Amino acid sequence: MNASTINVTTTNIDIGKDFSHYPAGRYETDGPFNGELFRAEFLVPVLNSHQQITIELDNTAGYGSSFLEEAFGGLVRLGYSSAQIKTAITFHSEDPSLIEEIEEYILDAEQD
Amino acid sequence: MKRLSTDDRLAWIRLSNKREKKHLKRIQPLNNRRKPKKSLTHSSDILKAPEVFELIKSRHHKKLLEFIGKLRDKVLIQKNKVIVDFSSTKSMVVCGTLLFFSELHRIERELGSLNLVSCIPPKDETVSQVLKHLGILNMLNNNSPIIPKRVDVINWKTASGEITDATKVGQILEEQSKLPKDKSKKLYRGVSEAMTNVSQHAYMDLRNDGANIVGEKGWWMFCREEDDHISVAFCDLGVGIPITLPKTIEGNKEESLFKTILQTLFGSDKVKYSDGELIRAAIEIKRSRTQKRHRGKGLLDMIKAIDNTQGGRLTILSNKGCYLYNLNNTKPSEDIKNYKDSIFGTLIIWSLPISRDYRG
Repeated sequence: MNASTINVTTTNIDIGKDFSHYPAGRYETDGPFNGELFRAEFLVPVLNSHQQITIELDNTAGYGSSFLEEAFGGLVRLGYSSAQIKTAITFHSEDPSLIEEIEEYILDAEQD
Repeated sequence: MKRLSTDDRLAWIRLSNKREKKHLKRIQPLNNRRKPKKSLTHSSDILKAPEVFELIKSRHHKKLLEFIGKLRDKVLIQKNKVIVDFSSTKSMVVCGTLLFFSELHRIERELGSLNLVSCIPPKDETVSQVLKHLGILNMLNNNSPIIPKRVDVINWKTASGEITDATKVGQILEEQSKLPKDKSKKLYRGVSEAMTNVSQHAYMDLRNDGANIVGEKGWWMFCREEDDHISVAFCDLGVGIPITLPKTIEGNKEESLFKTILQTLFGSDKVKYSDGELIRAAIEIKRSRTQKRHRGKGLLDMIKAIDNTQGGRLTILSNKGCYLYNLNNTKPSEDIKNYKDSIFGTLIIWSLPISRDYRG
């Protein structure tokens, strides 16, 4: 599934349902459901179209740090500021530490 | 000259014939002599499997690696026939069994089959069931009719691959009925990061086992749920953390930081550090070989899998080193160990206590 097959004007992206229940890996060369692919297919179109979305984080088997850092920290390396990302994306999870982790990756990427 | 009697003449002829035969035998070429009949032992080497397939205790570690090393040398490198004798094997522990399983699969992948290997099955019923359940007996061309029935055997689950696709791993973890969701997610985190390491670092060079296999990749996983704990083990047969870590810091400004970390941790300015010390330093330095700050959190993910889990244990074996992390009474304890022999790769084992009463 990619962004063109979902309605990008919707306000939610559910990683587990819209991308994969088993996200893993950093780069496209790592495997099929990696962070680089998720960023390219789902996050970049949102930022480019100036939408505001909520990303549902809970419906997956879990996340590795490589996936999260490349998906979200990688946005900064592509040229988006943390302020732009924060404006565009709100996260939802029953685990607040997961959201904190993602926010940390975005801030760290800006400092690199 | 006295004439010989008939008896003397016959005795003389017999003696002459005997001397003639001896003489001919001395001058006869070796390859014309009659050879003894070939027995089964002359066409295949018999390789005795150890009693215990386990890697943490030094005595078991040594024996298992000697066995695996001989198997690899004889079959993969020399292409000789081997009969693996499991008759004395009494115990199959997750870590040792996974390494053996992985090595067998690697040999099979490289040679295209395991036709060079057969086995003498184990006498121990449980070991037989484990080997059958894992498919090892079939791999070794043994069509034992044994049916795995023991609960502590059939709950071994396996997954393997060459890329970072955690679908099967995630399914296995989610199927563990006694594993709470939050712990399942943490284990998934650890295993998926170990898998990512395989894609990116583990096979960056040739494995130093003499087989010289170019361009290989692969990972293998076991999951075993028992009454009071769950064990998840992940294995790659790459170059090992002690090899990839020096490549991380070589020739850049972090090299001095790394030396400081090693001196701080181990209290001396050594020229060479052991594999166990290098694994510990790899966790401490939080970096991968690309030296970028946003990389290299994978090893920490492995610790996170057992964080806040009373009684949780993480073991990382890589080449000759071992790192042990235990969480008892909320205080983590760390230890390192070194062995004489290398596993030529990395094996990570998570062990989490689980509640007997949890229903998921």
